[in-house]
Amino acid sequence: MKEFSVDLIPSFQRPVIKLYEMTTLIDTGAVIPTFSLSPEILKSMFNAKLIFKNAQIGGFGGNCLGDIYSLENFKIGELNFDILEVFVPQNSVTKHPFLLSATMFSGMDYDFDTINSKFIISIPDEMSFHREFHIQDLKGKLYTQIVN
Amino acid sequence: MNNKRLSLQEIKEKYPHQYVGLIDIEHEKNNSDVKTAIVLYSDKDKSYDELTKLAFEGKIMLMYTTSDEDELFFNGYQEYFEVNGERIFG
Repeated sequence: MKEFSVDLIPSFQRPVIKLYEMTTLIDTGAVIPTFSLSPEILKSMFNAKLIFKNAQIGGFGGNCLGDIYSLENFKIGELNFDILEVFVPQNSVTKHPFLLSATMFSGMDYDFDTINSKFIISIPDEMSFHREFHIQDLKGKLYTQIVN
Repeated sequence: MNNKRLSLQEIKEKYPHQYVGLIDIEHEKNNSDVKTAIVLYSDKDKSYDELTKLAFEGKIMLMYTTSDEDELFFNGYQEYFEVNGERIFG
């Protein structure tokens, strides 16, 4: 296994790390990564492209409307999402600009070491540090797919 | 804009329920928590979009001062309830 870690910020009650100088919530109950940032910012940061409009997801105290964007080269430590498709809500759903979902780490072993404040990710040797994360809308339901 | 160095607790108390752009961050010894910092901007000075752009450019660190307290209600997680001003965690 290949392993790396990212520092947890211990003053938060939930697992929060810092990415791109912004707080990032790791939501192990989430399926779809949700980035509460304007499309203009996402275009300048990650060359974002609109995939489809008017997607709806639940789980933030109700249903939430937004659009799906495809980003390029989103990095979490040594892990690089060459393509990362994310939900961009019309209204912010969390105070953290980035919300990472459990599905992004599918096939990996991850661990929250709250004693040493580390988010530890282990990747099987045969798996690459590069991956793609796609979202598909099948008859109004969103599904995710990882490509290594 | 304020150039006074503040502890994290002081930042939360002085700028509750808002985004702040921090510079000159001193971290805690053994972790990545902010120990002290200077609040360069709050969302009273700059829009959220402006603050996120500055953060991505590495000019500030962006954080919301009371996200735990505010989001627990905002998202309806009901991780705690408040009775007569006292928090009861579920």
